[in-house]
Amino acid sequence: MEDKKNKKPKSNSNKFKKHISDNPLEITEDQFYISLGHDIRRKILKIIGDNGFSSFSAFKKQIQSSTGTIYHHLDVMKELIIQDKKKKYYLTHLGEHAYQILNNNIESIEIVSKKDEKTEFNKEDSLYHYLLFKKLFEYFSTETKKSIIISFGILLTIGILSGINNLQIFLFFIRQVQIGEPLPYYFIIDLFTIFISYFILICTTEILSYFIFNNHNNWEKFLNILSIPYLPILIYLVLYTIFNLIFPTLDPLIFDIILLLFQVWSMILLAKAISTVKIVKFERGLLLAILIDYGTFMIMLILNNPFR
Amino acid sequence: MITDGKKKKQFLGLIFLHISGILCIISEFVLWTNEFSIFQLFRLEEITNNLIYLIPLVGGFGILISAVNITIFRRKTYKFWYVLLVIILNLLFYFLLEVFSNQGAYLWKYLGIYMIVSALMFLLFGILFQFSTSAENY
Repeated sequence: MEDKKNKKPKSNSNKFKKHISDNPLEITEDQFYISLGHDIRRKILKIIGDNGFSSFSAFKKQIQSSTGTIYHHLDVMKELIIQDKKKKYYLTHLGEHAYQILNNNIESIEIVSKKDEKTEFNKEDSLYHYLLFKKLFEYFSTETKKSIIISFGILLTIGILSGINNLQIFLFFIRQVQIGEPLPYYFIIDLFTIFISYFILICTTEILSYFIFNNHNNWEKFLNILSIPYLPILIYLVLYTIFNLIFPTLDPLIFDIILLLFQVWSMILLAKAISTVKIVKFERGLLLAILIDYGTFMIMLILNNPFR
Repeated sequence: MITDGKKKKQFLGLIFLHISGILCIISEFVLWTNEFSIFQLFRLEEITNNLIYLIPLVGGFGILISAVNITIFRRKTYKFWYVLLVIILNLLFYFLLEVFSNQGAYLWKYLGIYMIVSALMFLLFGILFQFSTSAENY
């Protein structure tokens, strides 16, 4: 019953929006920013944007301001908000656009201001900063040409090490290639797999961030910066090679547990890379990294299933 | 500013994470083969690497603790709990990859796999709701 109630006003809102798009509103840039230029007006926009629609009583409850003040601000926002017959407020197309801008901008403003704050006042180096390769991210963001060569070097070393150890790397998952086949052939395949998986990672990250964040800025930076998340994999492969040489009878479960921790480290670095390039919060980057992780897991499940 | 929409998302995230944790714990004790649950498989000494079979139980408790810390208490160290959730997620992936490569064809006859797969789905949606709300500004 509740669903029906909720759906009905939405269809009304579409009618309103259709009506508005038939008669385009005349709004100047000044008017648009005036509509967003007050805390209460931004709160109103957020309340409607988060819920889909809202009532006047909900505004009063959440904003805690007088009736007159809220009516005044609603009047200023008349191009962004529309009211249906049941007195519910909805966002117009322009209002939805303003809501998107508000969300994206506040997030990027907060992140950039935090960066300034850290460079001026907070210069302490903690283990957390080292684990996140903070300085490397800064270097890769500024020195694009040099970092592309470094990225290529990282990927090539991973490719060679995986080829030597007969391992195949798909994004951040590693699988043992079946032994018994001609080794030089598999060495070349393992070497190329890392470059193919890097290309897939760039494309997937860009496509997902386009659809989820509606953000396709700075995509070129992914070309070099996404090699940083591969550094834990490189460290793991170095450890794997050394330990296999020194202790050849070591329990494979230990390697699996170490790999798992390094995979998580890679995912966190991927989240950091996404948040650096797309100027979004770390949580959003992590969300994208988890989605990529799920996708890769599905592919690995199909590849690893001997009964497929 | 916490709007009603954000509260709903947070509540859904909390519910999904808890359901996921509970399903993980239950899956430890339901049948995975025609005779054994994975807890019984863990107790069999003949199996090498039987520690893997404890992953759903440990992971389930880990998810519950993380969910409580992230959503209810809102501790300042929330990033640590996010990382713990990611570690648990990868542990579950590792467990499933191992189980599938050993006995993939027979798994779908028993209840255990359905429980763990649904737990993974709930975990995904729980993380999606929880992370997207905490990324937004208050």
